[in-house]
Amino acid sequence: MTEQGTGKRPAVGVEPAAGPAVPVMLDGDAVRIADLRMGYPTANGRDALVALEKTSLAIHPGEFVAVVGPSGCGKSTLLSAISGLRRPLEGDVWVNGDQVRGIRHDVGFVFQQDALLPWRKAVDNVALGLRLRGASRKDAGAEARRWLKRVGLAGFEDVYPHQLSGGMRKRVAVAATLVYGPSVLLMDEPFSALDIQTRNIMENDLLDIWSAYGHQSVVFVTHDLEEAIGLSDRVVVLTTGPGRIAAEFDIDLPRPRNLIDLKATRGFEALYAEIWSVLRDEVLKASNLS
Amino acid sequence: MTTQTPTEHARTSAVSRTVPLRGGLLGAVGRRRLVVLAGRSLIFLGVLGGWQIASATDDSVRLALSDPQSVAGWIVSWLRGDEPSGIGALGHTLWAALVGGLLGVAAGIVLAVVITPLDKIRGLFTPLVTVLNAVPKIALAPLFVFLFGLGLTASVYYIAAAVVFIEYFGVSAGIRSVNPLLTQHVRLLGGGRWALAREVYLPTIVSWLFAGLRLCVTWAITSAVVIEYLGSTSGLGYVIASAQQISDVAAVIGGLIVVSAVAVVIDQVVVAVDRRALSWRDA
Amino acid sequence: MTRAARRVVALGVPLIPIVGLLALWQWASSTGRIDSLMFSRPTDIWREVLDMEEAGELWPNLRSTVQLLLVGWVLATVIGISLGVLIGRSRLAGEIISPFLTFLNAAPRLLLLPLLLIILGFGPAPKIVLVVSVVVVVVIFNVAAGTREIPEAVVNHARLLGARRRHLFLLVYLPAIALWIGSTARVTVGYAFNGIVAAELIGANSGLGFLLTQGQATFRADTIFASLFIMAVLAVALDQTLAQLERRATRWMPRPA
Repeated sequence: MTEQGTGKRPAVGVEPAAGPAVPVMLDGDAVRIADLRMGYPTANGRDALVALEKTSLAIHPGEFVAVVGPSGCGKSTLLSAISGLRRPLEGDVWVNGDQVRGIRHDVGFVFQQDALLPWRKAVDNVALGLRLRGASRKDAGAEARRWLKRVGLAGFEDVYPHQLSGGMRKRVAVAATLVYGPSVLLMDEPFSALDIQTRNIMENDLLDIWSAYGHQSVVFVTHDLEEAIGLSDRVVVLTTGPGRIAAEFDIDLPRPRNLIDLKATRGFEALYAEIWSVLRDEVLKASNLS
Repeated sequence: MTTQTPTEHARTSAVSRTVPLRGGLLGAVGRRRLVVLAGRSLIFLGVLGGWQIASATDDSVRLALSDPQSVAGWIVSWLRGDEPSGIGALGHTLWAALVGGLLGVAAGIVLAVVITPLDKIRGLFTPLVTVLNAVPKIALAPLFVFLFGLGLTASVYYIAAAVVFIEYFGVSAGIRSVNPLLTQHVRLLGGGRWALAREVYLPTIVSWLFAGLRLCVTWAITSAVVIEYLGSTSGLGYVIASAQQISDVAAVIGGLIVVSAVAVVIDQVVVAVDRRALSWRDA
Repeated sequence: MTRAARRVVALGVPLIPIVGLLALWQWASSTGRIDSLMFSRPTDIWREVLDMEEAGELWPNLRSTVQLLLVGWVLATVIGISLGVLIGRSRLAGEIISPFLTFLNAAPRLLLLPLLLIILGFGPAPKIVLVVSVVVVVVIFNVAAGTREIPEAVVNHARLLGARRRHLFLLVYLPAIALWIGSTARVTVGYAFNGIVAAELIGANSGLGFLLTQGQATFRADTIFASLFIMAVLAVALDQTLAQLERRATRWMPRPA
């Protein structure tokens, strides 16, 4: 995972003509994607607009992987495939060794939009995952309060989502997602709606919670390259739609990291320049089409 | 979804952007249209068929609800003018609805435009209007007949009274909802009071006017028929009332269908005009 | 000005135009400016209300109207929720039914009354059916809209948390529906009120509408206005109660600025 020097992995799955490229994977992979093709039906109902094309990827246990790419490259679609929310056109997805055949309950998902139940207080929202798994109201409530404290919202238990700021709502969402102990965490541009200062604080807090409470395997989608490098062990760059993996980069910056001082970290600038050179091409390609 | 020109397509990936879905001859959309059409036909024919069978097999049903042929027959003969009141009845009703409706809409707009900007007066006026609005409109019909007798006058005033509230509330809310940023914007561009009225308030008013128009139209037609039913000697309401008195069920149902059909058609026209005229609005 | 005095003023000010109008009416009628037999007088109207109460006419009729109103509204809401959820959840069902619903919505349901009287005779049945027919279409539309408006992220979030279909209904759809029902209650009850009075105007022997027609039949303007007055009071009472309920039920919602 973390090797010396900037490691650029050979691009996986770029040449469709080269035959199915199944990457070398360990049996204990947290998430495994093979030749995934995702699409949405077009208006005429006969064709499908391909969002993700022949993508193969492996996420190792405990690894934090960031996925970046231009708009419309299928980043979010990748997450919906892993979580089981959407079915692939072709290809397979495995989570924790068994195939994804419907909504996974060992996966947590923090959405980009507000997904908390607006009519439930913060503590009830966090307790929900446990309650649905059969926990008693007392136990679920106690655990929920513990998690709210961990995300820094002690004292805000009995507050409704609309009374919280955007950042606080995201904290509740993270708590609500981690409370039932998923081993895989999916995050779809969770901080993109926040201002930059709040975002940095949230990123730091996310890393703290991640390393202290579970060290889950994370797939983090973002369009912010700095955020991607700062958070992850590996950055995967997707091409413009239909998305394929253009390149992968190991991020060997030492942990624990502080995203506020990220730019001053040695090695950051080089990494950024290298990844950006690939990403820039894809972004330009995407803007030429629109 | 962006459509690619041939050169762009060549420039980008070798893999095409769309792939065929396994869908069959018609494709998903074609099949869906078929299912929707089938569903609607099923419901329509089911109701019609059920009605026919019930009225044929059970006498009490036929006495109470008549049967499809009789109703259709009545409608046809009414359209042809065989019935005493004929199409003239429809014309009378629609005329009353139109005059009363216009009167009510105009009054509502004038009241809203005059009262809303003056906060103090609006504060005084609102409770009164709310109470007046709370009285069930239908109850006012006998009152108007009592005051103005049987005839067009009572109908027109009643319809106007029913409609005026809808437009008053609507336009008033619209005026108050004007985004202050818009007015600032126009002022900064150098606009005086007339410019403000023309560029900001007028479009807002028109937009809210149309929003309430659909409701006004429905209310106007309903009110017209209702007050005719209660005490008039012309119009569709009268036709239905006299049919009811001689228990001519086919005529009653026929009359109802005619009124409903007219109301629906006019409603759809309003929707279409609304959509076309105010396409700048966000849905 | 003291706080108490200020509160009195705040409560009193809205009444000024009403009182003013009544005073004007009273004056115009008493001095012959308007025909007091046609337009009656506030004092006469009030006297008639008291007479009605003494004669035992007021409360039984009021009760009858309110009871049938509530029965019809509840029935319409239950039916409306069932169909509305179906349409809201299933795009296909919504598409199939939509032209029928548009027709039913634009068609003046009040006009069903003559037909209902033929079929169901005179009694509570045609009244309840009329109220239901007036309200149910509105409820279906509102519930369908409310169901469709639930953000997909919220539904997906709940599903990932482990919610199966019945959980989804209880946790996500029911609260959304309840919100829509609650926030449109004032309008739907208004429609129901309209419906019940309409039904009482024709061939009824109880209810506030019946009182109104009695006044019409006996050419008594004061009876007519007295019935209207009672209806107005009932309407305002209903409206205010519902407003309170609405406020309590939606305390989790952001208040509009």
